[in-house]
Amino acid sequence: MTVTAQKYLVASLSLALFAALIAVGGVDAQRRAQAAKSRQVALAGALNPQLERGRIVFTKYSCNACHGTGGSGGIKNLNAQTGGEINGLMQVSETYTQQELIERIRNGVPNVDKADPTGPDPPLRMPAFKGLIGGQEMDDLAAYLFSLRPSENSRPPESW
Amino acid sequence: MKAMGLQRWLSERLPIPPHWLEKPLKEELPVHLKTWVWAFGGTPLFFFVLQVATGILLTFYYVPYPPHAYESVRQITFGIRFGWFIRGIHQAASQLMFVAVLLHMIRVFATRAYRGPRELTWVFGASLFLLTLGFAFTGYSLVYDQLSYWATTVGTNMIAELPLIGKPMLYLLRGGPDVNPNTLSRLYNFHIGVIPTLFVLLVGMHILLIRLHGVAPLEGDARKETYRFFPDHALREIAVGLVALLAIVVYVILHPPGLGERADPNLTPPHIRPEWYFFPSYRWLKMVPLQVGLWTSVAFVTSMLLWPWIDAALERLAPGRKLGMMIGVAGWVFTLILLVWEAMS
Repeated sequence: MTVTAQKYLVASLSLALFAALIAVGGVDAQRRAQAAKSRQVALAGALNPQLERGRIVFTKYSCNACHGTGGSGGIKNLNAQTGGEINGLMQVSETYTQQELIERIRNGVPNVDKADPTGPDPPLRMPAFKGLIGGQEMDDLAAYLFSLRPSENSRPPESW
Repeated sequence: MKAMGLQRWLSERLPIPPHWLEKPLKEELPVHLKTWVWAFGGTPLFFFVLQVATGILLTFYYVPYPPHAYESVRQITFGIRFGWFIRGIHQAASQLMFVAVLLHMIRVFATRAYRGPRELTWVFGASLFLLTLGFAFTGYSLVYDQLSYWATTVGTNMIAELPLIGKPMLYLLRGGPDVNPNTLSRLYNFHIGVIPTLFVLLVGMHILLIRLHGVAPLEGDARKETYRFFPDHALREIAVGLVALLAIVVYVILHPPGLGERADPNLTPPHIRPEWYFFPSYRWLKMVPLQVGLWTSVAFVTSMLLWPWIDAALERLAPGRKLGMMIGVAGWVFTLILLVWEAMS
């Protein structure tokens, strides 16, 4: 094969690749539309659509990456006062009012309290979501977090 | 004028003699390279670069911690914009990278390009093949669905049976006697840190040796003609890379990546099987007693690494009988039989 023929081949392959990448954009749009549709179906079927929307906001902004799936418990955060890990969110309704919780999400936690005051600063801090989450999304998220409760099995037995 | 100014500014700050850059491009290659079969050497490197690029994008969302790993892969696959595509490319390119390395090895083996003084080029290349397997094993473990989790458990269990180094290696990989939360972060570390670093070092040595020794002559080919690396050979390599990339993109569009059930350490799935490239060793270990299987596997890998010297010794033993070639071909065919056998079962 001559060099010129090879150049044409490379050019044709590049064009074909470009076309394939455009198709990828189309497939992605299609998948997103399908996902949105199935979310709507789930919302319509949910007992409380606001909580379902809040759950979606929780994963959309990757809250689960630090606070765990369903707020079940967080990842390690060396020397953090909350047991050396990022706190779970099962009890927020017992420790915050809804407005306080919203403020906490807006402003983040720039300084995490240390378990050992002489030890290192905990490496992970909660970022401020002001400007990212707001309006209906924030209300839905707060409502969702307030709905979280530890399952009956995981609760310690009540003492009399 | 501006371009000239920029060129001068750069050459003052990076005083690299122009012939350093021009020499590899103008390198004269023997004419036997002027076929498509010889255009597969750069393909594994192309796949590696693709894997690094897509891998970096995946690390933006992947969480290497057991309670969150599966969920993060689910998010990448079904939630993040183009996440399915990036993960699909990473997954498909890993398989093709393995195929490309294997094809390149088979070509080098068939043409006996590993003969002295190029033995170390083969050793580095064969080590890259083993590292590719390491990439595949650790990468598969990160998905954290049922099959991935149990393949990791079984795979690391096998390592424990290796003589002498088995137990320490098991602890090194798992971070404890059993698969535990440390295991995932260690495998992740190996996948994105240790193995890529070793890979880059070995690729560097492999390419350096090829440049220093020049391309291996082809046995029985007396032609003296040469042609330049650029543009002729380079275009051929680019064309092969583009065909591979196009094939991967089309494959991912038609078969977007999926995800199995979340990993459950208390529930062993009925059919645990590794990825296809481990089929030959998996089938072999099922056929023979475990210790025999492990020892023969160690012997197989060692003889693969030391093949240039083994072949030379066989040649001295029976000159012209091509004993090395016969044994090598028998080894490749046996491996292929084991692979097909396991795939069909």
